[in-house]
Amino acid sequence: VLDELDVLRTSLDELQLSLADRQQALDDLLSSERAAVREQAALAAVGGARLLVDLIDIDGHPAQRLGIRRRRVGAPVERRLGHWIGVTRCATPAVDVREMWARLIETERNRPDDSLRGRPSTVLEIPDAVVALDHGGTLRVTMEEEPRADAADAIAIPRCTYGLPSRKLRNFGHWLVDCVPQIDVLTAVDPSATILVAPFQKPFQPWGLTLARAAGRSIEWDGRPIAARRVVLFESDGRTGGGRPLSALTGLRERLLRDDDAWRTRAGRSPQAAARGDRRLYVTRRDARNRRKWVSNEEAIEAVFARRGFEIVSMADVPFDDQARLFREAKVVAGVSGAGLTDLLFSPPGTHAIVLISDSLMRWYADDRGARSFWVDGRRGGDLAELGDSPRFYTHLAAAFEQYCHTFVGADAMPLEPLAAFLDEALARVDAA
Amino acid sequence: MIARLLRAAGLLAASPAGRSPEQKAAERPAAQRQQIRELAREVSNLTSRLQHLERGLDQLRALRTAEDDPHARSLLAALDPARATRHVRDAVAGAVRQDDPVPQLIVRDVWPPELIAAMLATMPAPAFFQSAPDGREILRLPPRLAPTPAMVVLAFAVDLVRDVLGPALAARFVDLWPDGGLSASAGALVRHPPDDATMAADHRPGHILTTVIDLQGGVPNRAVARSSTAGVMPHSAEPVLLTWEFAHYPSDPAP
Repeated sequence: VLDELDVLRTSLDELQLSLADRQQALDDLLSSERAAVREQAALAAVGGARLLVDLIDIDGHPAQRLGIRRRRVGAPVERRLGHWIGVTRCATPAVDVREMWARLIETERNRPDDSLRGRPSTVLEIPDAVVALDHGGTLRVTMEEEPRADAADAIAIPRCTYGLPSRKLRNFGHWLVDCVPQIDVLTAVDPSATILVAPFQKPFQPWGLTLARAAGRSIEWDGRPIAARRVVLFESDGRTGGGRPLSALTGLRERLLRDDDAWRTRAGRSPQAAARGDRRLYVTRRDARNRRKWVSNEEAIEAVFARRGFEIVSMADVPFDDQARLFREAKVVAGVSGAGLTDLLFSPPGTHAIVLISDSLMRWYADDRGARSFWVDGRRGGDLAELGDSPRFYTHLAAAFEQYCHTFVGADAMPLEPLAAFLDEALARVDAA
Repeated sequence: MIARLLRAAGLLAASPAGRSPEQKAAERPAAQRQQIRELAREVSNLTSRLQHLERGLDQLRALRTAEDDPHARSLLAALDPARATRHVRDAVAGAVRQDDPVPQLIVRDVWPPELIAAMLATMPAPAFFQSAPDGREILRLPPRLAPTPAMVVLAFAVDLVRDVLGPALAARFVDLWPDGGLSASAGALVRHPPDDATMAADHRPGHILTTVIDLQGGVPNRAVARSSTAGVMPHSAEPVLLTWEFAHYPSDPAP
């Protein structure tokens, strides 16, 4: 009997294990259901949908709003900023700028950790609705009981169509790193939807649509009501308190790199080894408006770089596709901080960025009329990504792209000798990598 | 399967004629008896884990089917925050407070009809409630998990309790805690066993006021708010099946 009892005990133990496996599987299922149900209930809440962002107003009763789905697109991003920070020099005699720079570095050090984080983007899929833009810039979405006869099949609206000031839409850098990734996310969700974009003001805007696989299926929208059977709405870009939309941006970049034949041949190598070209580019701001040149001795600076093998390029003279190609082939990209450097998007991991910041540029970043100025007093104590809206802009962008960033802070008339010493030190790092 | 294994081991075989199970047990060696006791404990444990698993499966089934209920959807469409707020405030304002034997307020039709209809139509299945030792089943609010329509309705009602009903009741009992304000908890839904004719309120130290709302059975849609020193709530002629119970406690710690 004791033997039989042992057999029985063994069988019971097996049953316990089998039951534990099933319980774990069930718990996992319930956990994901719990998250989905909570999200759905927030969207259908009595009194109005609880959204992750403002500037969207959804008009529909709770039962209608039960039909809305929120999708998370892209992967979470986490990068160790410190790993990608290269040589940093502050050589300005201006006391205010030196203090601001020191405070920025201190604020950076005091963040809870060294990680830049971005959450996946969220997209709302809304059935049978009419969309319109009000004068305050709020997107009004009115849900309908039945589809209208004249309704379009599917429309998609990036956040930059309604949530971005016109002056930012006209800026190449903002368009490339903030807007194009949103459109690319919408393309991933519905490759056939018609994209509603703000009226084009610059030639780089249609080019951006090509990058986001949306060429030929966009409408320049003035905000008048449009009905659709399905509205795909970019809701949140997942940025954590500031900075850039890291998940959407790196998602776009990875796809562009994947699509590039040269990249494919090197796939699987380490980021450092994957740098494909040996070109050294210096992006001049001689073509910028006077008050946005930021430095007063651009030609002398160019000469310092040219003596070290840098090609001097003016982006205004280079067609957009060629800009992308130049940056793909670069090993080092340098210039005064400005929109021309955002083409780093096309440069492979391991590329080195060398960014010059002048006194007037530092003071522009610190102008308290701009939302970008909070870094000056470090009031917010949250995520490191918040500091992406600061003179550290390109350091953050490069880190997101797994590229090194070297920074030189100097007077508007950049001191050439310290600049040359800084540059030699940075290039030694490039050669050593 | 467990029974089959027990039979295979001869542990579930019918007792021979004329010998009681106790006599039979007494004849077994001590080690064998000990092992059987341990196995019985394991079987009992396995049974309760199976019940837990079954409950989870019931929750999943309910989640998958609830959203497609057209009746529940039509009730959701009728919910209106402004109308509900007015209704609740008027209902509390119109109730007559009694102070004998204890401070008490009975509010009839406390919820607007469309809300209580939506609550009952979307009420989470028993699988979403936790069993209490006294036979009651409790769902703390707002629920961590329930079908989406129920989550929507209950979240709305919880907001009404916190923002409208709670403050309105507190204003009627301001003398109970003159040194500061009272805040209302979200409370819990309580399913009562069939023979439970009283609404036993959940009294805890620190509660100043306890409110019980009949949802099913008893006097439907009646709220009884009482000083928590008062003990059980009044009897109903009909058994109470489902209640919403919440409490008021001091907003700030006592001086």
